[in-house]
This record gives sequence, C-alpha cells and structure tokens, in this order.
Amino acid sequence: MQTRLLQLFICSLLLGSVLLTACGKDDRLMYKEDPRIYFTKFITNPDSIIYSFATGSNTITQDTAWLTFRVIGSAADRDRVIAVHALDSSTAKAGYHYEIKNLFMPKGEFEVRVPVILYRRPGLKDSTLHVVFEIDTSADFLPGYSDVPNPAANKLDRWHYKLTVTDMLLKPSNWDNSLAVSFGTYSETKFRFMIAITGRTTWTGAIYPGDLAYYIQSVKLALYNYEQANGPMMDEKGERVTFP
Amino acid sequence: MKLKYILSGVSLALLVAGCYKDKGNYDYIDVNRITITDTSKTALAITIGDSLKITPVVSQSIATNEDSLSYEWMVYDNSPASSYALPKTVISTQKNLRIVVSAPPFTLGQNYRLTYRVTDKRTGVSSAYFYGLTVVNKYATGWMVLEDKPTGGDLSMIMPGGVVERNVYSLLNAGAPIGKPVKLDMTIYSVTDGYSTESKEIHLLSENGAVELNYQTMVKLWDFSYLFFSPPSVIKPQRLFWAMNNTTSPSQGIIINDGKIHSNMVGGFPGTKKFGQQLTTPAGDYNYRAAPFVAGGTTYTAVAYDQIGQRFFNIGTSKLQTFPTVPGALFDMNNIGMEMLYMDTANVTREYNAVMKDAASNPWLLRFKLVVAANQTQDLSLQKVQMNAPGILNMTGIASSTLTPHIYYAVGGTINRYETTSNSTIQKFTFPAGETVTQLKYKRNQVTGSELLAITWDGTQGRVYFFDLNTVGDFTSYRVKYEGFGRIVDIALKIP
Repeated sequence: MQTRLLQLFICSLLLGSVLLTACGKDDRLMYKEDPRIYFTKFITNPDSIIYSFATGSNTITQDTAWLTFRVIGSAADRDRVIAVHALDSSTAKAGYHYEIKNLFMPKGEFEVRVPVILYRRPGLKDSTLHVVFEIDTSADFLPGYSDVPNPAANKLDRWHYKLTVTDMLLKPSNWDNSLAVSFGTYSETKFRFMIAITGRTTWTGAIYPGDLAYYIQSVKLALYNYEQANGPMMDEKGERVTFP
Repeated sequence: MKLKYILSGVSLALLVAGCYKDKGNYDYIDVNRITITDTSKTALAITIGDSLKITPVVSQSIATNEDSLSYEWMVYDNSPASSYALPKTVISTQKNLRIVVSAPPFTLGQNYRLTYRVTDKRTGVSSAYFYGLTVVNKYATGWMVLEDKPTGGDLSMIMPGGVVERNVYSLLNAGAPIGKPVKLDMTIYSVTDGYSTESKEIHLLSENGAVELNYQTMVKLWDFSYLFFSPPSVIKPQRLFWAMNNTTSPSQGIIINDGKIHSNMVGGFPGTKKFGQQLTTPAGDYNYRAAPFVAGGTTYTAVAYDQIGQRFFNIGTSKLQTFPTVPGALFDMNNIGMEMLYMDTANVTREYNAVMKDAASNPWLLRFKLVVAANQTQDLSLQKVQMNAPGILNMTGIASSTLTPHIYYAVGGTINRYETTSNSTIQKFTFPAGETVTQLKYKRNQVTGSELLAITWDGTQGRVYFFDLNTVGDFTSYRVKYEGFGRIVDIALKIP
C-alpha cells in the first residue's frame, strides 16, 4: 500500500512538474534587423559619373558630383555612419582631386545624396582621372546588394561607383546609341557649339523629349545663321559640321 | 472492467458523431437591395449662384416604404491637378438634391465628383451613384465672336438662348488689350503641355502677339512668348493648331508664325512641352512661307503647305519632312506647283480639301488623305480637278462641309455651294446690297442638323447669320441673325 502511495506521489510530482513547465514564458523568436547600404543604379543615375570641367565656364574651379546611397532596412532615429574607400586602381587623389563631404545617413532617411567636391587641377587639362568607391562595413551598415541590376547599363555592382573627372571635352558616353540620332556624327567642334547654343552642360542621362526637340531646333537655326555669316563650320577633323 | 467498456463505447460514439453530415437546412434572409438610377446626364456643367437640382430614382428590392433609408450627397474636388488629400464635403442629406452652387466647396473652373449614397439603416447596406461636375461661369457655352473694333480686338459671345454678351474680353481683362486680331484658335480637347493645368485652350492671335485665355474663366493666362522656350525674333502669329494622331487628346502643337512653322509634342510624357525654334525644310534651310492652314491625320500627324516651294510638308519635331513619291499618283505632295488659297477637313475623316490656284489663275481642287496603312500604296492623292466654281479665286469666305461633299464659298454678298463629286456650283443665297461676306464657318452636327455661319460686314457693323443645313447640305434662307458687332475676324463654338 505504501509502495502504491509512493508510486502515486512520484507520478503526481512528475505530472505536476511537466504541467508547470508549460506555464513558463518562452522568448519570442524576433527578426533582428541587419542594416545594409548600397549605391542606387537608375537610368538617370547609372553606375558612373563622367564629369568634365570643359563643358562649363572657365571661371569654375570646383564643382559637385553626387553619390546616392540607399538603405536596406528601416530608417533610424539618429544619423548613421557610412563607410567607403577608394580602390587602389583609382587614379584621382583624395583631398586633391576630390573630397567626400557629409558621408552619413541622416536620421529618419532611407536615401541620401552625398556630395563629392571635384577640384579643377591643372593636370586635368590633358588627363582623365577616375576613382572607384567601394562600400565598407561601418559601425551602422554592412554592404548591401552585390548584384549588377542591369547588365546592359551597369558594369559595376551596387557596392561600387565610379567617378571620372577631367578638364578635357569628352564625347558623351551616350552619343552613339542615343544622341547621334538627333545630332549626327560626333566632333568636338560640334559638341562645343551645342553646349554654347543650348547652355546645357550635361548630355548624359535622360533628356526630356520637349527639351531635346528644342535643342535640335536651336542648334540647326544657330548653325544656319553661322553659315550665312561665316560659311560652313569645319570641325577638328576638317569635316563640315551638320545636323541631320 | 465493465467501466472500461462503457468508457470505450462513449468515446467511440463521440468520435462517430464527428462524421455527422451538416445538411445546412436553415434559411437565408434576403437583404433589401437599393438601386439608384438617373436617366439625365451624369456629367454636369454648373454655374456659381445657380441652383443644382438632381432627382434620382431610388428603388428597393423588398421594402415598400423609404422610412429606413438615409441619404448623403458628398462632393470632392476631382480636378486633374488637385491633391488627393482635399476634403470631402457632405452638401445634403435629403433624398433629392436642392442646393445653390456656391463657394465653398465649389470653385470656378474646378471639376468635382459628386457621390450620392443611399443606406438602409436596418442592415447598413448601401448603394452609390456618381456624377461629374464642372463649375463654369456664364461663358461656358456659346459662339465666341472675335471682333476688330476701333478700340482694339474684343470678344463677344452669342449665348445658347440667343442673348449676345458684348465686350467679354475687355470686361474680364481690362488693362490687357490684344491689338488688331487675326485669328481665334481653340481646341476642345485637353492639352497636356507640362507648363499649365491640363485644359482645353483658347488663343486669340493678333497682328503682333497673342494671348491664351483660361478656358473656364476666359481670363488671360499669358502672352504668346510664354508658349516658347525662347520666342521667335519676329512675332506675327497666323495659326495655332493642335494635331491629334488619335481620338482622345492632342499629340502635337503647331504654330505658324511669320510664315514659319514651330512644332512641339504634347502628351503625358515627362518634361515641359513648349515650342522651340522654327523648323527647317528637308534641305536644312528656312526658305519657305507656310500657308496659314494645317491638316492632321494619323499616319501624318500634321501637314502644312509652303507657298514658295509650292509643296506640302510633313511637320516633324526636328524638321519639315518630305512625303514618299508614288508613281502614278494624281499629284505629288512634294511638288504641287500651285498657290494654296484654302485647306480644311473634307467630308471623310482625315481627308482634306485644298483649293489651289495655278500659274494661269485657274482654280483647282486637290483632295488627299493623311491616313494610309503601312502595307498599302503610300499614295495620298484622291482627286485633282480644275474647279468649275465661278469667282472662287476672289472668294471672301469659304468653308468645307465635314458631312457632305460640298465647299461653300462666298463672293462679295453671295454664297455658293460647290459639289466636289459633280464639280458643279450652285448659287444659294445673296445678302442685301452693301453687305459683304467676310467669313463662312461650317458647324457639323449629325443629330440636330449642321449649320453654316456667314459673317458679314457692311462698313459699319458686323453680322452673324445662321443657316440650317439639311442632310444633303442644302439650305434656302437663314434661321437667325445677330447684329451690332464690330468687324468680325473669326468665330468659334465654345463648349463646357
């Protein structure tokens, strides 16, 4: 009988303790955010900027290019540090040819445009320098997407962004596949004329159809008036400047 | 032991009960459904200060009386440029709407969405019916008459009831005289130009300038120069035309200024769509003088005529372009060799009548189309005939019918009707001596009958005569005339 009671007691004790453990509160399985950051890549903001001082006024000594960063994760209630470094292959010197300012994600923001000040140094007259920025791990962010979103438009992934600076007049990278339809064969003389007539200095990226039509009409009229006064305009290769 | 069997039996019975099939043999109760109908128009033009009365028909599927129904008339600003966050206003909770249109919530020129909601209070089930409202002023509808007066250009309006409102432009735009007027150009389709609110447009062209009016308020918006990225050095506007290569909205704007053509594309794409510089000929020069007429199609959106080169141009956005030369065509669009006197729409959509004068001073009719399928012959020519139309070279007014194969033209005080199919002319009407027709206007209306408007001038006053045309384009005398105008330059029908 005593053994029976003891068995019953032990069984009750075991059952009770099993039941009681069920009352313990379990820690909830929560997602811990892992904020990351990457360079945005859009049609109007592809993976590189080619900046030439030559399209602007001679009095300009510095100008600003912009790097656009975007967060994977939530906005925070404080400014967060972004870290980048220039790849060793870069030819432009930090602090001399360029300087990054305000490299942080402001509080409450998902996206930021960080200014890169470009300096017009004498050496740029006959050379083209570049810097490729790579996103580093910072106290607040890990590097974000490492993919190439559009292989047709992008050569670099979203950890990298290339900035090219010069004081030479460069043929816009979109001339052959976009501008040639409206403006014909490229020549430096023609391009300088277009800039002078339209006042537009940036020809890469999207140009709205209304603006483009106006530029075409303007350069044609200006060239016609030039030819009436001076005869044909010849370019650096000895070819006559014409627009289709 | 016995207990064990009983427990097993009970458990088994409980488990088997779970297999019981629910036959669902209970009743659904029909809800009283509300239906709202209204046989009158759902797009309404309303005027500030007027009453707005709407009497919809409410029917119910079950209930026989309306004791349990509640009503709500709610309105919000639904104009294209308005914010989605604008407030909604309940303007009535009566069954039928009876209000005086006033501000707030109504503002002149804005569009509103009016929602009528009827709710069955017992079930909460409701039904809604929608109306579109546009707040207009009294100048919403009527014939706009552009007059050249000793004091300068002005507008009068012949209202639907026959009342004539005089000096409309100067009353609304004191201090902004328009100078000597030359043309009234209007589009009844909304233009999306990226620099102004999407709207129908009215332009008053004068000798050395032009103004655009707000379509709703008739108040001046801006001068001609504002339409350009950079205005032309000589300003002598002759035509402002909105071409449509579709049936919904203008796709290309054309300005003929001082004989030169300016073009812009308009539509929902991004950016500002102002006019740029004059277009070059296909040869790259500016040696042309455009006639003040524009034709529009779908294959060729806009087409103009050069009086120097005596040829048609297909108007592109970067230059004037040639047409394909088709062997065997009645005429070559690129080489007409005649002077254009008149061009307008013919009686088939996208087909045009051009009245020309050759070097020997003979009148010719050239008919052509601007729609051609890609896999068909690119020949646009339809008819070329030396016109049997006495006096047409000296015509003082001309209008092409868009329903019947006729061109009405006036010589002095006589209106003639030329038939394009038979190449014959009949004299139709003669005004009293001293009155000269200065313009004819054709107003198409397939439902109530088309009208021919004749504008006359007797040296002291202008008159507008309305002739009703029957289905075969015939008429005898005028229905009504309006007098007391200055010298009338142009006339156009404005709709809300």
